[in-house]
Amino acid sequence: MSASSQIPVKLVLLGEAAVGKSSLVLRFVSNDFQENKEPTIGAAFLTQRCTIGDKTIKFEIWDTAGQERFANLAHLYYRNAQAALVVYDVTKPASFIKARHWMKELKEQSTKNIVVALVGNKFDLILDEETGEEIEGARKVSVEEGKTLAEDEGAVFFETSAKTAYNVNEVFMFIGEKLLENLDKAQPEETQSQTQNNRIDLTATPQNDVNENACSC
Amino acid sequence: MDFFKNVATLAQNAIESINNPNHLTPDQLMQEAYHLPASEHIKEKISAEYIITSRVLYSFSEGTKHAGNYLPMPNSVNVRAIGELTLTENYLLLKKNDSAYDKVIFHLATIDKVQKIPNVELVQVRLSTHNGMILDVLSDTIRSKAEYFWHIFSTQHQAAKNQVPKLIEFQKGLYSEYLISKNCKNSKLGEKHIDITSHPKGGLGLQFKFPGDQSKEQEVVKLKRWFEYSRRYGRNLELVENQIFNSLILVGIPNRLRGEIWELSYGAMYLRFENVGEYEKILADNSDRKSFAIEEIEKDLNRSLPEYPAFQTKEGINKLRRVLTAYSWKNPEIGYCQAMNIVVAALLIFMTEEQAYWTLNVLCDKLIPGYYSKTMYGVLLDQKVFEALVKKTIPAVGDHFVKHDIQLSIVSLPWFLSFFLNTMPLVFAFRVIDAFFYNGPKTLFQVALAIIKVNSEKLLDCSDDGECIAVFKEYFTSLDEVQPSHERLKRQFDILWEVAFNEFHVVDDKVLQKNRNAFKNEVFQGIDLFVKRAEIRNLPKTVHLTNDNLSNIYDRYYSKLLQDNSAPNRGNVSMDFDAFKMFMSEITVWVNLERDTRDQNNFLQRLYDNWSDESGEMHLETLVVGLNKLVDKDLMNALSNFFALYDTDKNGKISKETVLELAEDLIFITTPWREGLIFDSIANRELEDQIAERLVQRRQLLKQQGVQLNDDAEIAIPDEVKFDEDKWRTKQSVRYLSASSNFLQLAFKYAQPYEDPDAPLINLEDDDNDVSMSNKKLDSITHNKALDPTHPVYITASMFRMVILANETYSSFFENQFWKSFELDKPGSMENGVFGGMVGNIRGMVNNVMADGARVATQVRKKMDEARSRGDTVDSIESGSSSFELNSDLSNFAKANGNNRTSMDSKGADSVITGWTLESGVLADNFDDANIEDLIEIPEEKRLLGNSGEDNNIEPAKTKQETSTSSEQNEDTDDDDFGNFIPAAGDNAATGEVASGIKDMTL
Repeated sequence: MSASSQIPVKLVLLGEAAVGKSSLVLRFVSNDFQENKEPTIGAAFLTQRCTIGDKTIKFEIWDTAGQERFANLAHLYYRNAQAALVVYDVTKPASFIKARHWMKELKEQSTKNIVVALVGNKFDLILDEETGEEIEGARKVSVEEGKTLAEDEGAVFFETSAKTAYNVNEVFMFIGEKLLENLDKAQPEETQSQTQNNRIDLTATPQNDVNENACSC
Repeated sequence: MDFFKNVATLAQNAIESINNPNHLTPDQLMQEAYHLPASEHIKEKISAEYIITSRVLYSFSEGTKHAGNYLPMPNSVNVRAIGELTLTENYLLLKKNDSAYDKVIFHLATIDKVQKIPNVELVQVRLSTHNGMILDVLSDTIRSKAEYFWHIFSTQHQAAKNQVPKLIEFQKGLYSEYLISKNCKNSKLGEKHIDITSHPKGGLGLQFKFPGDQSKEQEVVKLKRWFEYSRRYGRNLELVENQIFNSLILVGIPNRLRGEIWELSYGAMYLRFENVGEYEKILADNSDRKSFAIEEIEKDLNRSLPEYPAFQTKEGINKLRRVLTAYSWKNPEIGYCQAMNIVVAALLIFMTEEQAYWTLNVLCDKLIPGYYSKTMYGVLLDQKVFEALVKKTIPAVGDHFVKHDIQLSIVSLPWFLSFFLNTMPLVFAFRVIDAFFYNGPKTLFQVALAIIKVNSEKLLDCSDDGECIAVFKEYFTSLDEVQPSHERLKRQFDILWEVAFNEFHVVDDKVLQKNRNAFKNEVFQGIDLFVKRAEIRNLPKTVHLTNDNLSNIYDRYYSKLLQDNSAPNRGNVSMDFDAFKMFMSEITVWVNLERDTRDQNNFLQRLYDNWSDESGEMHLETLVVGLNKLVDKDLMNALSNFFALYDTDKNGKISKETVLELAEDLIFITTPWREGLIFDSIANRELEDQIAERLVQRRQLLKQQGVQLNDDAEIAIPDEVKFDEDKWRTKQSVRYLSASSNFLQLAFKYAQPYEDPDAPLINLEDDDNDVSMSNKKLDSITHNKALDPTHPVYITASMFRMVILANETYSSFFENQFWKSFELDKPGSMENGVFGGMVGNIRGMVNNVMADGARVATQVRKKMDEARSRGDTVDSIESGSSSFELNSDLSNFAKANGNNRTSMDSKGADSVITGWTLESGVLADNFDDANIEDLIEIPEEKRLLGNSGEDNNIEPAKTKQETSTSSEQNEDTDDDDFGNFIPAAGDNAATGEVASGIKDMTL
């Protein structure tokens, strides 16, 4: 695949510690799952390409540390991000509160027009392995709560399981589509808003996309 | 931003005490140099020549036995040097002059014999240690001083003797002693040792193998060297350090000894020896407790070096849990920070739990302060420093990063936080840690800079963060690979090692300190802003408080706490009552710290209790929720909220005793109004009405004198109003006094007995509503039957509202004054000690005379119309006005107003008339018009003098600005009908330039 036809998208994952941010990324990038993944220190960086329609998006994923005190650093990572996944654990109400805070922080501090997905992860934990039905009382954050928060903050809502791969690709694909959509809409104003950082310049013609040309991958 | 500066300063001091030798006391410098605990202090110090004779080396030199000589023989069997000899409570310390490596640290309990050697010239003392080291000290200082030193020494040494059993027990647990004991059983070299039969406890590596594939041979070679060093130069608490010690560390410590050397290198071992048992105790003492840190620890236990077999077992996990938990209790400020799990897991491979616990203490307190703190300021600061050092030492790469907007710090942060444990293969990370524990934090910088340096070519090809990360990732996995370098084959890691310590040795502690100083303000401000933003965002919704209000409250709240709490960490810090009092004195007009009255304390205590959480602690969050209710502008809500402060059991009723308290509190919070220090809206209105009336009279008078006035033109408002302030004060005071008695009277009248819930709310037949009840009469209320203890009564919220509404003064107070009495628009500042000077001098708060110039104008118009329609004569108006003939001490008034303007300025509507009185700047000390009988007075000389600045210099900038705008308005005014005034009335006015308009007015 020719690198020059790729659209780079900076995506950041935010959310409380141990909700499965790194696992979502691992599933998306390597289609793999590790039971006891080491906590992310600072942030991890991974990339993954995916094709949507006739376009190829190269996701540049910043997977951030979840512990509260690392929140101080998060702005380093969501700087210039075009997309964000705010992740919580459907079995941990506290992680949902944290997600709410992240949604607000993003709204206040991040790039305008950032595409945000609210993701309730560990969906597998509330399913009975045999029947496939939800286990009574296992879920601690309802679908409605999630949906409402997402709607309030103009985000899209998903429930996922990094372990079973449920909905994981869907989240990233949705974000990709949404970004391409915005891209088409934004075309007319592109010239004035894209000044300093060509990384934001989704609409750059391949010839002008310095980054991708420099990268030989 | 003063507040942030302040936070930064306080936090800085914490860092500086570690980084800046200039700020350290001699004791701290000594502790730093020898890595001794803070409990050791310099007892005595002399300079001396010393000779250390190692029995082992001596025996070697005799040629008795050369086998087992795993280290090259030194030139001399003695170490002979001149240096400084220091005695502390428990240690004898020696440092060779001008040497970074040569030092001696002997615990006093390791010294067996002390002999004074006869010497005519110098004081010579020979010390022999339990392990067979001989230390001769020849003091070249004044004899008496040297003798005094040894006298003190002997006292300390005696005292330390009872520690010998503890020392032996301690040493039995050390691998170095085991190594000696095992290998020197039949040695005839003269070394002494403890007999240890069983292998001492150590790290998980002994059982689960040490990571990496270091061959047994390599390990044995290294062990032999350390064995040799230990028998020659001592070990653990009896150690002679020299250059060899340093090089043995840099080539990699053997796994079995690693834990012990790590804990020895930065002094964790001294802490452990001093605090034997603390680790077990802290765990036992807190065994039942839960904490947030523990929750966080639990999340990470299964994911700390998970690939290492021991951490897949309960045994390993439990060890990790215990060490992290114990530390979280030891230092709740840090609690637990991700990365600590990885670091402690690594420590536990080589150490016992207790060793790891003390090593973690030394790490967090001394080696990398602030790295794991709640704001992580230490590691953030060091990233700035690192980026700056890259720019300076490898400018090509530094410039390239700037050009491509690559933020190196986001890549390097994990390197520093976990000492490369999660980036490099473990065996190499351990090597870095070997050096790091011995040489301190500069090691991390040296290695990190070397990584950039050896990868510079590849990095120069990168155009974004992602590509850089890929370069590093690839590099770290290739550290084991061999590649040609300088015509030799070298391992990547060894190349890195050489570059780090050869090329970047210049990056020393001084360089670090200088750079840290340069960036700390920036870092602290960034953190502060973030913390503030996040905390404000997470506060509960407060409809009556704007974001600016919250920001000001936040600043004041933390500035109060910072005065006695130097911790740079925020978040969930509770405010005690004294701090709360100070806080309230800054934001309200009715709290005055100079008058520390019982009433004030009672009411503030009530607020404090109401605004605290279930555990009785006040936090920013609970404070904001409480304040939000008190500043509700809606009268009915305000009354309900006020009532709720007293309805502590939330049953909608308050008992008569509480009603009495409430009444007293009302008297307290209305103090500034009752004392006439601030005029309330009722008084303001009356004043306005009178001013209006006076203006109308003046016009009438002028008309009578034949002056042409245009009734349809805009009504000009006087720039200055004089009135008998005392009289108005008194009037208002009386009104507030009667309001308070009236309140009690009505409250008890309508109070309902508990036994009779069906009784009517209001006894309509009772018509006793004499508002002018005196204080005596207030006392008589205590004889009221409602207070009869046999008939307990209560009032409800609706009764309370009704009683307040029935009283004009109190209802107006709640409607117009109370919510405005909170000063929340003004940013906090630490500059003047006490914030804003809101209170401090309540006498200086005489204030707002009139609220609304526009209203006065309307009133004038109305009265003019009325007068016209009635055809009133001037005479009648004059007689009507006589009752307002009040004089005042103008110079006082001016001063008071001047002060007042500072404190009231941002309060808005409450003080407008003072505003337009002063804005023209006409008040002056020499303007004494006590005898002026004239209705109109135009003190133009005041304007010419223009000395308003002298009275108002408290806030020059703002006043000036306002002065200029208002004088513009005055010019406008001059141009309309008032400009036509002829100074007909009185001599005062007849001085010429009077035509410029009416500037003053006396009531």
